[in-house]
Amino acid sequence: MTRTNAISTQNSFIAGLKTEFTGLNFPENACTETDNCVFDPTGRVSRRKGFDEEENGINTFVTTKTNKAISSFQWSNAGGDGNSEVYVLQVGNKLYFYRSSSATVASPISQQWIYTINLTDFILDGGTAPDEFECQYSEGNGYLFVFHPKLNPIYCTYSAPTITANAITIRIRDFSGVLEEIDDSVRPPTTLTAEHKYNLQNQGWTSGASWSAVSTTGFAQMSTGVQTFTVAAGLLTPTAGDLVIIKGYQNFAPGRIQIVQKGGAVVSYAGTALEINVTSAQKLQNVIFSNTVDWEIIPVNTDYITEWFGDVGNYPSNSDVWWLYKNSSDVFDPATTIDNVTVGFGPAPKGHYILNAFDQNRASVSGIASITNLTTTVRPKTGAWFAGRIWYSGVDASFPASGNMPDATWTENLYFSQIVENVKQFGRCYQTNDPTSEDRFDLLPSDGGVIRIQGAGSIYKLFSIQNGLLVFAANGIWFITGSQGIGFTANDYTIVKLSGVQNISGTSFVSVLGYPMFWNSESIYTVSPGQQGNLSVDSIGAEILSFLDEIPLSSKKFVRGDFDPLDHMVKWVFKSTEETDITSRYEFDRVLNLNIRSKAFYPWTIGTDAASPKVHDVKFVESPGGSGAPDPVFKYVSSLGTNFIFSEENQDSFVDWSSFVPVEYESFFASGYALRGKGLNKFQENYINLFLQNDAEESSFKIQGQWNYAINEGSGRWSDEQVFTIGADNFSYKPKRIKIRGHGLVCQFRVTSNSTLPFTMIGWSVFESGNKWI
Amino acid sequence: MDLKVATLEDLPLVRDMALKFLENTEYNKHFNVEKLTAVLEELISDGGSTKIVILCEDKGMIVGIVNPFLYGTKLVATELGWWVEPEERKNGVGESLLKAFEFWANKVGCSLITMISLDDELGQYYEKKGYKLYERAYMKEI
Repeated sequence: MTRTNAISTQNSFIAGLKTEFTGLNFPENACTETDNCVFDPTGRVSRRKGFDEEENGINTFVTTKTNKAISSFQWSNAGGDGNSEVYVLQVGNKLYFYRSSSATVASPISQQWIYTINLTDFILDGGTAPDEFECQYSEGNGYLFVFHPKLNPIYCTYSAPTITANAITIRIRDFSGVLEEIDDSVRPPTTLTAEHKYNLQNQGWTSGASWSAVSTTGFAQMSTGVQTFTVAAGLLTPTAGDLVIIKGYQNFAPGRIQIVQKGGAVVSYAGTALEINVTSAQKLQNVIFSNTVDWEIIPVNTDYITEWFGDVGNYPSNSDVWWLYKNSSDVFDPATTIDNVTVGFGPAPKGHYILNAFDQNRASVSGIASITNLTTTVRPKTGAWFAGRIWYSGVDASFPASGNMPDATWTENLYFSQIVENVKQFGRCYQTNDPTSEDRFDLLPSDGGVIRIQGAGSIYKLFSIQNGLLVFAANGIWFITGSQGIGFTANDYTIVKLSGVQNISGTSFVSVLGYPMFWNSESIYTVSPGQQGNLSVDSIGAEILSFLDEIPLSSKKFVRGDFDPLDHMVKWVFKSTEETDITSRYEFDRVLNLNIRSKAFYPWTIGTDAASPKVHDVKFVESPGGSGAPDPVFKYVSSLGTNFIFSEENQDSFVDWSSFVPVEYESFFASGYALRGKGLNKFQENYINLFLQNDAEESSFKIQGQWNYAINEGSGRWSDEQVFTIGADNFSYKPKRIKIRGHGLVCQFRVTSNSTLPFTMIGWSVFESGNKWI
Repeated sequence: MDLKVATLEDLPLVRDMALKFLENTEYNKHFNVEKLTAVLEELISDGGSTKIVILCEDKGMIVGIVNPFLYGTKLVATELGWWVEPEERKNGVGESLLKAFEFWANKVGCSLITMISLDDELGQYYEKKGYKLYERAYMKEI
C-alpha cells in the first residue's frame, strides 16, 4: 500500500492544562494531563523547584494549631509611612505581625516578627472564642482592618515597633423604630404605651426644653424611695412625672468618678426642694465609693409629649412631627397650632436614636425599660476600604420575633462609615444630622449609612475596584457606585446586579491588577471591564472544569491565593481531599497556577510526609529592594507541629522539604492528541527530535507514546517508557532523537521526570508515516 | 472631666498610654510589649482590691499597686505609672488622677504612698502635695 510521510512540529507548550475538549477538537499547545511542571509564556515546559523553608528562616512557635483557623494578609502601607509593609498571620486566636519590609537574605521574614495580638481580648459579652473562624482583612489610610464573624471589627495602627489594636463598635441610626399595632396617623387617646413612647422619642419628641440640677445632699448612695434633693431655685419647669437619671459622683476636682446611677421620677419641685421617687440604684464602682457624693439630675425628656397630652387630650401619632406645632414665637404650642397642621398618613422621620448595629438596646438609649433588645453575637465577616470609608458586611444572623420586636435579619446589610477623618468615624455608619431635626436634617455626601441588598443572601466578600464596590454574595454579584459618574456618596449611589454567579466563600479572592479572581463551586471567575466598559463576570476556569470538579466543595470554600505582578502569576493552594476536621482543613497539598499572560493553568502536588511541613497559605511578598534584600517571591506559610515557618519554591534538588524529611515528587505532562490521518488512516511516529534547554549539569526525562486514547498502560497501547539523560555543553538547546514505537489513529507523548533530575523542553519535531489510502 | 477605674475594655487605651510613658523613659530599651500587655491585663483585672488603673477619659491614667511596707506593718500604695497626654498637661488631669489614686489608697487601707519622679520638676510638685523625698533609684545594665 502506498505510504505517505509528514513532519510535524510542536514548538510551544504555552497553553497548559485543558480538560474540556474531546479527542477530536483538542487545542494545540495544550496538555491533557500534567503535574508539577511549569508552563512559561515563552513556550518552555520544565519541572518546578522543590518546596523548602526559606533560607535562614526561623520558627514562630504557637501553643497549638489543633482546630485553629489560619489566614494571612500583606499590610502594604502599615502606619501610612509608605515604606513599612507588615505580614499578618492568624493562627486561631492570635495575630502575628512580621515587618516584611525589613527582611533581608540574612534575616528573612520569619525573623521579622514584631508583635502579637490576642483576639480573645476582643471576645464579645456572651460571644464565642474566635479560634475556629478566619479573619478577613482590608487596609486604608495606613490602618489595618480585621473582620471576624465572632468579634467586633478591629482596626490596627502601626508605630514601630508596636501594633495597637482597637475594637470598632458599628453604630447606626434607628430608622426602624418599634412595631406598633396602630396605624401611623392614629393618636392614642389615653394610654401611652412603651412602644409608642419610644417611637415618638425616636421621631424627635425628646428634643423639648430641658432642665438639669446638681445637688450635694447626702443620701445613702444605694437608697431608693422618695428623696428630697436640695437644688438651685428657679429651675425651668421640673414637673411631676418627669423621668430622671440621677448620677452620683465622687469628686476629685477638677475630675470626678461616677460611682452610682439611679433612676426615678419627679414628685414635686418647690423652692430648692426637688422631690424624686427613686426607683432604681446601681453601684458602678466598688473600690472608689464614699458618702460624699455630688449628684447630677438629668431629666429623660418627654416634655413635648406631656405638653401635647395636656393641651390636646391624647398622644401624638407616628405621623406627627413635633416642630410643626410651634407657634409664631417659635414655641411648641399644640393647643393653638393643631388646627393649622394637616397631618399626613405617612410616618414622621425617624432616626433620632443611634444604636449599636448588632446590640440594639433601645431601652438603654431611651430609658424605656420594656423595649426588647434586638441583638446578635455575630459580627461582620468581611469588609473593604472604599470611597474614603470603611465598609462592613457578612453578618449572617437573624432575630426571631420576641417581645415587642419583630423578626429581623442582618445578613444582607452593608454598613458604611462616614468619610474617615479620624478613627472615631470608623464605627459611625450613620448620618451626622439628626433626620428628625427641624433645620439640620439633610443627608450629607460624607455621611455613613446602611444599604440592604435584598435577595443577596450571605455576603462573603467586598472588593473595591475603580469607582465602585463589588459585593460577592451567595446569590450573585452586585456593584455599588455613584449614579453621577463621580463615584459613591451617601446621597447618590446605584446598586446593579452584575451576575447570578453564586459565591461560596471569601477566601479564594485574588486581586489581579485591581480586579478580582475567585473560585466558586464549579469554576474560577474574574470580574473585569468588557468591551463597552461595563463590568462583566467571566469564567476563566471553563477549560479545566473537569479538573476543578475533582476538588471537594469543602476544599473550594477554603482555597486561598495571591498574585505576583512581576511574573503575572496567580497561585492558589487547596486541599485535594475532604477535610476531616478544622486542623486538616488548612493542610493544603496542591497548588493551581495560572499564568495571566498565557492564560495557562497547571497544577502541582506538594510532597507530603508525616514528618514534613504542612502548607497553610500563600502570599506574594516583595521587599524594598537593594543589596541584601531578598527576591520577591511567593511565601508559603507552613508548619511542622507547632512551629510555623515560611517556605518557598527554592530547591534545585527537585525534592520537597529537603531540610526536613525529603519527599520526592514526579513531574509529568501528556501532550494533546496528534490526529495525523484525519482520524481515518493509521500512522506511526518514526522518530521524534525533542529539543531540550541545555542549562543544567545533567537533565533527564522519560518519554512514551500513548496511542488511540489509551488511558493507562493496561491498554497495551502505551509504548515502552524510554529514559534519556543529557549533560551540559556549549549549546543553548540540544535535540534528542527518539524512536517512538507503535501505531494508530492518534498519538500523545507522555513526558515524566527521572528521579530528582531536571528537564526543560522547548518542543519537538516528529517524522510520521502512514497509509495514503483508508 | 470624667475619671473611671479601667476595665479590660480599656486595655488597648491603657497599653497605648503605657507605651508612650515607657518610650519617654530609660525603660524604652528594656520593655517587651507582650509582657507589658500581660502585666496591664493583670493590673486591670484585679479591679482595685490591690491593683488599680484609673483613667481620665483618653487624656491620662495612673497605675498603682498595694504592697506591705517592708520594714513595718503598714500597707504602701506604689505608683507604677502616671501618664498625661502632652496636650492635656497643666489643666488638672494629672491632679485629678493623683487625688483619685490617693483616695483609693486610703480606701484599701494604705497609710503610705510612694510616687516616682523622672525629674526634679515633678519632685517639686510632689513636695507641694505633701510628699517628701525618701530616696532616688538608679539602674545599671549588666
